[in-house]
Amino acid sequence: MAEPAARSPAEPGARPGPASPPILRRHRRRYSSTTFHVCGISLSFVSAGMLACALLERLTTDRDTAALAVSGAAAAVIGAGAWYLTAPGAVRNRDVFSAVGWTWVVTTLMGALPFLLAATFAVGGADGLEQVVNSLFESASGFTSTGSTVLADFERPGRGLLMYRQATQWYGGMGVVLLAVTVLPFLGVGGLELVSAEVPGPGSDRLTPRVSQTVRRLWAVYAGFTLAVALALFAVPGPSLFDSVAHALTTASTGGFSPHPDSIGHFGSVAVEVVMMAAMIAGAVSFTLHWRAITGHPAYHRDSELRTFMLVLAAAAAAIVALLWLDGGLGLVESVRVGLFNAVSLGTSGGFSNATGPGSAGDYVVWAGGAQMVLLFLMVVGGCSGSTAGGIKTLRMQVLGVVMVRSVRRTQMPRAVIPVKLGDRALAEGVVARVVGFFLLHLTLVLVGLVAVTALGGDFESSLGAVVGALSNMGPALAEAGPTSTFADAFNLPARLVLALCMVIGRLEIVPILLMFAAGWRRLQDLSSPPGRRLTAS
Amino acid sequence: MRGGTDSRRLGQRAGLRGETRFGALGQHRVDSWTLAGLADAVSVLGPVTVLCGLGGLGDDNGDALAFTAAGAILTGVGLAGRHRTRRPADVAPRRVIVGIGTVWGAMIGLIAAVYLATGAVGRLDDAVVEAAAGLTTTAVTTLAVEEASRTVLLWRAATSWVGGLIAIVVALGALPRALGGTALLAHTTRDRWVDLMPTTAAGLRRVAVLYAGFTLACAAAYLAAGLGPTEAAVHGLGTASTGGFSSNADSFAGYGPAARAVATGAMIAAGAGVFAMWGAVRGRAGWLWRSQELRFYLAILAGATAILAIGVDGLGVGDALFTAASVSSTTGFATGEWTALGSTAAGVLLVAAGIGSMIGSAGGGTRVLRARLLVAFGGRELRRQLDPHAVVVVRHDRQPLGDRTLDRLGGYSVAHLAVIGGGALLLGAAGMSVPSGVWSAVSAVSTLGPAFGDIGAFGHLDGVTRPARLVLAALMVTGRVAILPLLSVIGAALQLRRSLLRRGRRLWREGGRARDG
Repeated sequence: MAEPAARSPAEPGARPGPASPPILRRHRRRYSSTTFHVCGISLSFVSAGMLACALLERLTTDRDTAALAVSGAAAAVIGAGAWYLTAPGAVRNRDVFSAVGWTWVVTTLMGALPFLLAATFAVGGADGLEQVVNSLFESASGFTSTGSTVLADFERPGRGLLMYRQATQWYGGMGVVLLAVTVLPFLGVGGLELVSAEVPGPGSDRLTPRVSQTVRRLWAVYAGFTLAVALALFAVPGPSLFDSVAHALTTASTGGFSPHPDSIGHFGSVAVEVVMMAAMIAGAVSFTLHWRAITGHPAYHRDSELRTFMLVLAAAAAAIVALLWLDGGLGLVESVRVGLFNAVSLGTSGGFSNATGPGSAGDYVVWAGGAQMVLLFLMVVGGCSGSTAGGIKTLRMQVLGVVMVRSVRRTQMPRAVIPVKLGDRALAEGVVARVVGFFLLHLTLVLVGLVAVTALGGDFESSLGAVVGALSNMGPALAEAGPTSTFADAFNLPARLVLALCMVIGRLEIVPILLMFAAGWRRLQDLSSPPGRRLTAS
Repeated sequence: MRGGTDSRRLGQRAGLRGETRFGALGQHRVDSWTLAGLADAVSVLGPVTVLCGLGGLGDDNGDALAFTAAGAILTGVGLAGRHRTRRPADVAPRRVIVGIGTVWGAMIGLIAAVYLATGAVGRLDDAVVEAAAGLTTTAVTTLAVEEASRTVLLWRAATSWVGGLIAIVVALGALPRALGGTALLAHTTRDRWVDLMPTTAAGLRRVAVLYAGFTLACAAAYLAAGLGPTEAAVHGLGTASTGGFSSNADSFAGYGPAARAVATGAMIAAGAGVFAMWGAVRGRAGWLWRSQELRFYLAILAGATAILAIGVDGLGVGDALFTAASVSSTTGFATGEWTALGSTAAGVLLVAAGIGSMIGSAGGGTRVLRARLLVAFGGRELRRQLDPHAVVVVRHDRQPLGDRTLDRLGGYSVAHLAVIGGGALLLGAAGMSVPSGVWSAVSAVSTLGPAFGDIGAFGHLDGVTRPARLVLAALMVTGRVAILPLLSVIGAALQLRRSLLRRGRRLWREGGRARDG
């Protein structure tokens, strides 16, 4: 968080920051820091959610009202202070990485406060450190819309706190949409830079020429989508209004939290599962496509990424159903029901479960190895770019496939110049290299995370599933960290912290979190270098 | 001319497009890269089989005679093949790559046939798996080692020795020819390359001598460490080739510290490859120290050893180093069942197995050089994210690598991982659990053999279903040399599909015009 204290002159290559709101122009701001400014905005938004959930808690169970209210007030004061006292500085890549990375870290830290103050995890003789780690884990899982949980006693938190837990995922999803569609393509990270390479112009990744307009429209789509899911869930028999809203918040964000320990299995309703599947698939599709459909220009059928995503999902679901049916344990109808739901849930990085208890048909940790392997594959691939889903993303997998084919063709024709094409357009070599680099970084992180978590005592299968799941923002993992158990059962405190870090890294598409220290590091270098060289240090 | 025409027809029938020329003695010779390579391989396998048969005399004479006879036949076929074929001076890269795949496939078929013909293995699928495991230097087996005769034990180890030799020859002799300037090995080890291989033929002779000498040295060291002659020979062959076959069902579990120390050193040397061996033989310490790949390899070994020694209760530094060396060099010897090592070992050894040995060795895996360059590649992309206009050059041993080489590296890595992923999926469908499937796929593609889960540290396939064994055999072959040929086949299929689609579209258009007319 070491940011410059004094406003520095614009450096070469920097883009000018946005103009200050008129009301603030009268005051001369002392601090120029994109990172502090963005963190302040983020905390202010989150504080509103905390206070709204405090109100809900007061009106319903009234057990954790104080915890939510105090946390909301603290977040509001800190957030508004940081927002008001700072102004966005020059916008260089490293500043954006720093802002994005630190925003998620600070929000996660602040978001853990309600759980901590409400002593949500003070069960079974948990000491202070365990409560802190569990609160951080739950907050990280929420704001990264992952869905892994350490919460075992769902009766302990009040309704307001449970709704806050759901809302963390909704906030996370909202941030991700903004990040994926407007910020990361600007940095060449999020995957949508491929779309803009495929279809140049403001109509692809940017819905409008103005970023602020784009953000407003995306959020309108997101909010409308959430509302539609809530209404659809409320319309089918089973979920109450509270359940409908709670699940809508985490379905739109493909998060996976549920206020019930047995997730969607709580309802035991095919209708609820169908609504959830449709909503999860919609959540895993690029929001720019949804916007186009809303504005009367549907382009679903023309989008090669969506076609591939649906094809992969259908093939995986069919394979799982076949394996479950042929395995002999389940009938055809039951195989279709649990196979399809879990394939969609993990293929969209939703992370909901329709298991009704350990060892039940929907508990995929008891399935045959082949079916679990397909689920693991789906976890790695993830959803579409520009959506709330996690994973490597279908678009990148398409590019990797084309890169592989190009290698083959180059084997046959070593001197041939073969461009990598997505659709009819050739991708720039720089973009292709970025995709391959991202894939390698992802793989490296999986291996490093696996070694770290197993070295900290995790069992191999649980650790593999948990690390892949955390980096893909999936939620439940395999073996002891499956859908009917919690991560507290499977991993010790240090391992949980590693997994929480993996969630944040995965949510931010890896690069920002690895480079978030770069801005501070460069500043330190500037400060430590002789005065005459400072201007050239950039 | 009749003989020449027959030879050409034979070559064409095998899809080899040979050309008939007159040899020095007026003999007709087929110019075929594939047939010449196959003849060379068989002419090495034949005498080795004869030696194994002779070495088994006095133990189970039936086996010994059967293998001696089979070896004599193979020797005759090999020599005849060498006499009737010739490598063309100019050959298309595609043909070289397809030829590599064909030679491997044919050799596996031959070895499986010998297993069946001699009665050493009773079932066809078991014979294929055993042959693939041997030739690809993967330490898994379907045989009951305690009941196998001395001849079979020697021959099983000898197949891995021949496989190791073929792997090195292909890597140093054939692939650089096929891949030209983008061949990683020739490109990144230029000074050492020139020193070891002034010409391809001279270089390959040196490599063969180095390989044979190293094998003899290993066997002698094992003898000195107290192993019997047969055990020393089997383990010498298995160590030099990184094959990992042992004459005991429990590998090195029954041997003392001296034998384990010899094995540890020899496995590390075998995984380091012929360039490091050549440097050591020529006494070029500076040359070795400057090799980034060797330093990276030793760092991986040290890291894995440290994690195992610290993280696994009851595992001493010696056993930790033995296990790390066995896995890093993809040899596959073991001192005990791996399940006792726990999850920490499963995680770190999976990474070590995936990376594998150095380029220029008989081992497998992604290879240390590629892993190092992939790390550098990832670092370059990170740096580019930070400074989009920065010119970041990836170097190895101070030499800059071109974008085309890195591009090929990226494509190869993606293909390698796709093979592992696809293999794990198939193994899961064939009845393996997730950890067992993932580990077995990585182990088979890296030609290691042992794996956590169903296969275990000693590489017995008793607990593995028959479909899973066949999947494992396919993965071993794919991992050993056939990723590029496999991709070539896929490429050819894609090209065929494209041309069929184009033809279909043209016919459709012409039909439409005819209807309109």
